[in-house]
Amino acid sequence: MSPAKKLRDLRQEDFDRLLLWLDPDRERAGLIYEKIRWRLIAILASRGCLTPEELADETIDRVARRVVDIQQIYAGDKAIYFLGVMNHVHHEYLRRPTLPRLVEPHDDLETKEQVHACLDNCLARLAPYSREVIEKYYSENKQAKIDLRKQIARELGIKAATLRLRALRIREKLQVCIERCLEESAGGSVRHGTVL
Amino acid sequence: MFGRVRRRKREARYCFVNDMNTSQTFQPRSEDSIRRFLLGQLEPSEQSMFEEQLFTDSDLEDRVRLAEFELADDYTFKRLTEGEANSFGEKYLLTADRKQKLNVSKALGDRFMAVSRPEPRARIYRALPLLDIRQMTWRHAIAALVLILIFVIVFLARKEPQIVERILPDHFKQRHHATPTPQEMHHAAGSAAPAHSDESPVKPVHESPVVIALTSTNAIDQGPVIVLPSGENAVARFQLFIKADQEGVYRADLLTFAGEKIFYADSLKAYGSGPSSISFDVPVSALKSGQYEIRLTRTDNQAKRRVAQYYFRIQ
Repeated sequence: MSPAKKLRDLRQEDFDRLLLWLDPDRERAGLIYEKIRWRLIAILASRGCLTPEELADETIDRVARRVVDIQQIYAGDKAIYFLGVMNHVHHEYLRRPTLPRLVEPHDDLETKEQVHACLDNCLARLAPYSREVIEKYYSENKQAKIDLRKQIARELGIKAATLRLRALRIREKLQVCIERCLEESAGGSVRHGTVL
Repeated sequence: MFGRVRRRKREARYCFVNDMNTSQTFQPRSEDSIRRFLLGQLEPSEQSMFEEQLFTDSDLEDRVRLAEFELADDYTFKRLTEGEANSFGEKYLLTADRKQKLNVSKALGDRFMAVSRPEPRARIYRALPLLDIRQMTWRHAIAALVLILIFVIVFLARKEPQIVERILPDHFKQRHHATPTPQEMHHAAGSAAPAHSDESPVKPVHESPVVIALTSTNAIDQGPVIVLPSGENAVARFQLFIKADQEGVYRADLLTFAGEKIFYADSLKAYGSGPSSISFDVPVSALKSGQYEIRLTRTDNQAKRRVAQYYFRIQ
């Protein structure tokens, strides 16, 4: 079940109350919500849960239902409250009978081609310097990873640690761009846009 | 019963101490901890510490997000150990978001690794910039070195030819061709024979033999006086002149004054037009000071007649 569908199952007033509890500014509350959800998923995956996204949504669902009771009395970091509820959800999950893990189908050629097309599209939208960084960063030889990173960093006039961070930040932007592109291509044609 | 309780207490205390040690040394923000968290490889105590930190530390969250990309890249480019790769499949690749990250990593690998693969040598040079002989500095240095070498070789060849001779292989060496001049010991008939000495210089062993040209004579005292070169392997080449049109096969016998035969050469043939000559070599070691006679006999006819005799004296 998708997170959006799960949220639709929640009563709208519970979800609104949750966002309000997180932050009076709805937009900022939405960002906090996304961050908390990401953290829950990361932790549940690290604990080896096979359905971390579902368990994270279940956690948020439970918190949303309780906000009405706790919002007046709860003091402290609200995110930590999610962590406590998630532990309960996780314990319940561990008591459930283990389901066999479904075999993931291999990526079909069409999906692969779509990702490649979107990558080209998003690379073209990168600023020249960013593109140079990402190109050099990914063209390195796996055996000589560290040495070559130092070499590339020297060429770009930055430290190796800075190069790594810059490359990963650009990679993050590319990821967002590609995901957006894939969504668009699923609904229509791939569009060329402005520089990322 | 009490002993078992005490042991349990000891074990509990031991576990606690261990946890304390872990909490003291564990660095949730280190790259290693982040990586182990993503692969589900943290110890239980480390895991709970990390989770709490992740919920309160935005910077740590940011780093974990970036580490997710790096881990997907490392898996794609086969930089993970076997254990890490297994954990990657079991503990990391559990969400749609991470699977998409892996897809993008693969696409990036296909896009850029493929471009850079055809030039592994160039990569080595990039990794070792000081050894990159394509650099302009290296080119100039090599060109200067080649020029210096050429100057040195030319200088040596001109000033010290013996060094060049020593270095050069045998087939490149200039050969010394000995061009001995036949010395005809010819004396007018009836005239007093002058003391005739052969002035042939003493030559090295490997050089051409000394040529001693002799004409036939009946008088012993008319024979030339010859000074032979020294050396164990020195050779004297006797060139015996015969009358024209005496083609045939000959035998030459070398005898001492006492008539003792000390050397002979068989199957000799005349060569040359006009006055012909017959040549044969005698080791100098066989000749001592004294008077000698060479008897030339024709051997290609049944008569085997003596054709001529030649006299000379070794000084």
